[in-house]
Amino acid sequence: MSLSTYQRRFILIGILLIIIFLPLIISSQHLMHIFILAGLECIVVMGFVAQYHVRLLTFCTATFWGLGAYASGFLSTQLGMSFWVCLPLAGVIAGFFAFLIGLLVIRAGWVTFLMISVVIAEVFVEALGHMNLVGGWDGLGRIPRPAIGSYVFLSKASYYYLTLALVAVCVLIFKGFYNSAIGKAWTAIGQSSDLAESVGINISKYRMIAYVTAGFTSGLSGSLYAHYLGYIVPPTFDIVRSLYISINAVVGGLGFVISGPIIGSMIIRAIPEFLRIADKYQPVFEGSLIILCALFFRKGIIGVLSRLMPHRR
Amino acid sequence: MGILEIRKLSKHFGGLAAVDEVDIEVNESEIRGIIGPNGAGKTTLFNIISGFLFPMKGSVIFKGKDITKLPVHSRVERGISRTFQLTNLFMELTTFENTYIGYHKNYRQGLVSQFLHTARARNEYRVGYQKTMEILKFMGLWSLQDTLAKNLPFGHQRMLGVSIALATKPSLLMLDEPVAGMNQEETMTMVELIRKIRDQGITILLVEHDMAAVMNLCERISVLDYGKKIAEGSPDEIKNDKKVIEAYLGSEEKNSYNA
Repeated sequence: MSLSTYQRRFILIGILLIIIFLPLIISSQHLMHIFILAGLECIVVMGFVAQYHVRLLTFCTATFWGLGAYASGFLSTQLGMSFWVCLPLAGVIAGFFAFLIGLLVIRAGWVTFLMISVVIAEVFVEALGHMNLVGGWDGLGRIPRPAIGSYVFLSKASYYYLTLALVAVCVLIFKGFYNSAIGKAWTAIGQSSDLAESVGINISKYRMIAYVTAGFTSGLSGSLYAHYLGYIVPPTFDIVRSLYISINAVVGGLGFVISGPIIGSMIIRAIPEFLRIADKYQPVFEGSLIILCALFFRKGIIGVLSRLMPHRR
Repeated sequence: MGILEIRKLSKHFGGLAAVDEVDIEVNESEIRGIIGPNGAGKTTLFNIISGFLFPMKGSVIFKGKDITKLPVHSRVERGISRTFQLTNLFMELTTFENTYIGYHKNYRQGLVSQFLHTARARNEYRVGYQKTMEILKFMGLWSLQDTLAKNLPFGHQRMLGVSIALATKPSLLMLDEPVAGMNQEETMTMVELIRKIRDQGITILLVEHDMAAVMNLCERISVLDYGKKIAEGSPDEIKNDKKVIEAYLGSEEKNSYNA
């Protein structure tokens, strides 16, 4: 059975409608909270998948997320900047940081790159913890919610839409890349870097584009995260968080560059809540999910879904 | 002056001289073969010319410019393109997509323009699409354009390797054992194709073990042995060269030489 283009469009519109009217359907504030976090996280996961696409493996995805969060938090609380200035700045700062790291190690082999990323992740958390300017281990608090004029994004529903907007922007950014010649070069590098090089693709350059883009979008997401919780502490952005982000990516399906991260983050975040085994058993749940994916569903959840509903290529 | 000049090129791996003071000059629009027994340094030489390895001494000059220290992608930019000895393709992509990626270096639009899909960028994509189709027709892969590279038969995979290299619009095409592992019929097809490619004005430099194909195809042949160039000349001269016969008879490859 294969779905026609018409049917696929129908399903897609249905999903979009559900997403848009979700706050009206769901009354639980707690669930809205979960969806907001999943939305913010899926942006970081998209960055991870983009890096994986050019075979850059890192353990510091959450670092750029945290960099965005801390940059935005610092600028708004200490310097009194408006959220709408902090948001793009957080992205630019995280992106610039990625660029600097990239300059140093993007040409190194993947093992070196991976090890350096571990160091970066650890140093970042330690450095924040000892920096009194941003609250040290006590964390940075009293980060204001974003506001337009006199309207403040206080309710969960309003913040949900803000998150949704950012997810949409990031999806557009990544889609723009994947659909252009840049994305073709990314795919080529991922499939065979030797051959990609021999047709004239500058591997380091295209890896850098993926790395900086991931840094930038993660920074944006981090900013929204900081202003949502109002209070951030260094350990939130440690290496374990980066590992969880890679789990989201694997569960969603590494080959599905946009839908994979979204579905993966949703599942990892939401299902334990529905099962009411949150907190205590979450690691067990995620652990078994990733083992299942590694053993049986090599293409992730989306891979399974698309096999159940084969569609035209 | 030739399109490609190699001057006093040396590359050692540990104590072993893989390429030792080799001089080769390739003229424009010729088909040049590089032969030699196993381990003679042919592939090393290939990798140095294409930029995957850097020499310890000597220089590579292409179209009058020294390219010895340039990275691979800059060499492709200048018109050097290569295929690989082992089948090296983008296995999970289709025949069309493989060749289309080969066209990548010809895009002139900036990153921003590509990202925003401006009219100019779209126009370039369209030209790339047409060019890719032309190459697929030329290589006889037209009907297989939607097949994944990993599902192609071996002979067609080798053809696809050449298609990808051709899509970069090279002026020097380097083929690393283009007919290795092919049957008689496939070999003949490939030999004909290589001739046709040359007739478009593309210089061909190839490394090959199949003596019949080399003798049939190449106008001039350079022979390497233990990293040194021991002979150079037309196929007939090479066939009767004492040093060459010695080099081959001294190794296990005498049978292939008699072909």
